[in-house]
Amino acid sequence: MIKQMGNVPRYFEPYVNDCFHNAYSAVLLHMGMNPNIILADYLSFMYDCENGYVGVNYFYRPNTTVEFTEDELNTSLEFVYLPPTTLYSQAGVKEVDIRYRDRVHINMFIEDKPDVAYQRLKELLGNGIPVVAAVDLFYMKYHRAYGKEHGLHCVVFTGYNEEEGFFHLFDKYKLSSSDFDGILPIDEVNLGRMSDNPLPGVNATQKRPVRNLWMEISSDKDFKVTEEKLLNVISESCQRMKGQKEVLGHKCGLDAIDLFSKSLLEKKNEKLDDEKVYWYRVYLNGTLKNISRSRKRFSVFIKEISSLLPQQTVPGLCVSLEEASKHWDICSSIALKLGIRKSLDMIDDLVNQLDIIRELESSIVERLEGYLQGRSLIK
Amino acid sequence: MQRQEIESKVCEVVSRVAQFNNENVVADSDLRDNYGVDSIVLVELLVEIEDIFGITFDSSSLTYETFSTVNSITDYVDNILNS
Repeated sequence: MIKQMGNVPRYFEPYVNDCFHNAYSAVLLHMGMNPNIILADYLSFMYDCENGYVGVNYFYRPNTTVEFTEDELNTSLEFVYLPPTTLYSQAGVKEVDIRYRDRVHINMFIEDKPDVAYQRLKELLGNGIPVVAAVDLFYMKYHRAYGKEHGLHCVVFTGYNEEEGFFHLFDKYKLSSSDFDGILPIDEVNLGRMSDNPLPGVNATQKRPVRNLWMEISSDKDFKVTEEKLLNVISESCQRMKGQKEVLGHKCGLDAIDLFSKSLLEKKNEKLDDEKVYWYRVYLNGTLKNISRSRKRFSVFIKEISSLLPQQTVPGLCVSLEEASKHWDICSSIALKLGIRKSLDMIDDLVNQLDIIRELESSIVERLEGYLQGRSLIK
Repeated sequence: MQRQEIESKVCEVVSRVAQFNNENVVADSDLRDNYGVDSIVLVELLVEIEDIFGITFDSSSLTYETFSTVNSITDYVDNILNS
């Protein structure tokens, strides 16, 4: 059997934070939707002083599983609903059940029987549906991690040729050095789909099995982007940034930035062991970079909905968001340098940058809130 | 130290950390596009340059916007050493 789709848009934008969203974007474009809107996220910040995790609308934490609950999956994205991860062979209904008509549904399926997962992938491709699926980069011949390092990553399958034994797929997530568009052996890719995927880091014994994870994206035939929901992205952002709404039991936004600064200053007198060096050099470096990108992404969203906002406010908002993004990026670099130098004095530099960010983001929220008040849209 | 000498040492470090094109480092070429210097490698490179020249980069300058070429790094070091 030979099946291939040639019309799936190849998508990459440097402000997209992870390989899942980058791959979803290609499929959303194929469905005729705008990923800058559908995957728009709320402006926020989260910090957990108990374990040092940071995030925007959920905590970035090293996972040892690809299974997530409904609560964990739905703290972000106004236009998306993610049901809990489902074991495919135990799913009552194999076709996607549309629960919310005003949201795109992204169903995450896992399956420990490789043949069942492979059959479903072929079935979807055979129906002309491109499929986002996870692989371990250790098995992906085109990537620099091939045969060296493990890492769960998302690619987009667009076809297969069983006679010659290959998949058609692409991976355009250049932020992880990916830029592939071609064919790969089915057997090798399937190994990547069922890999145990050992995790890097201080504890080398941990794993995050891929379990043939794939995503099925669908929406109600009457789904549409409404002005009310677009403005709700702004309203929800204001509430989160002002600490008026808790997410996963945590205060967010400006208060969380203050808490993060305070907690960093308390760490100045700690002894730096390997685990703490890893936290600065790898964890904070990567996650603060993600937060930097999220500000750029929010700026893209503001531009997308500029016709709904007072024209004179849009350029100023975008400049402030770009500026905030730059300072989060500097924070990321300082964390890396601190980890390399093992110099806790650099915490002062980090906190100085957070002070600048707090001022910028407070001003952004004030302007957004002023606009909502003008339209009587404050909840 | 002459500017040319600083540039030559910076080129040497870039050549060592570059993921590709490391035999042909040009002072005004973009480090990311031409040598695969990503944001992590850039900071590692700047730390190495600090050690070579005995200087410290201001933390607020640690961005790709500030240091995207050998020239921009050389200018910064030259300014500290020779001003």
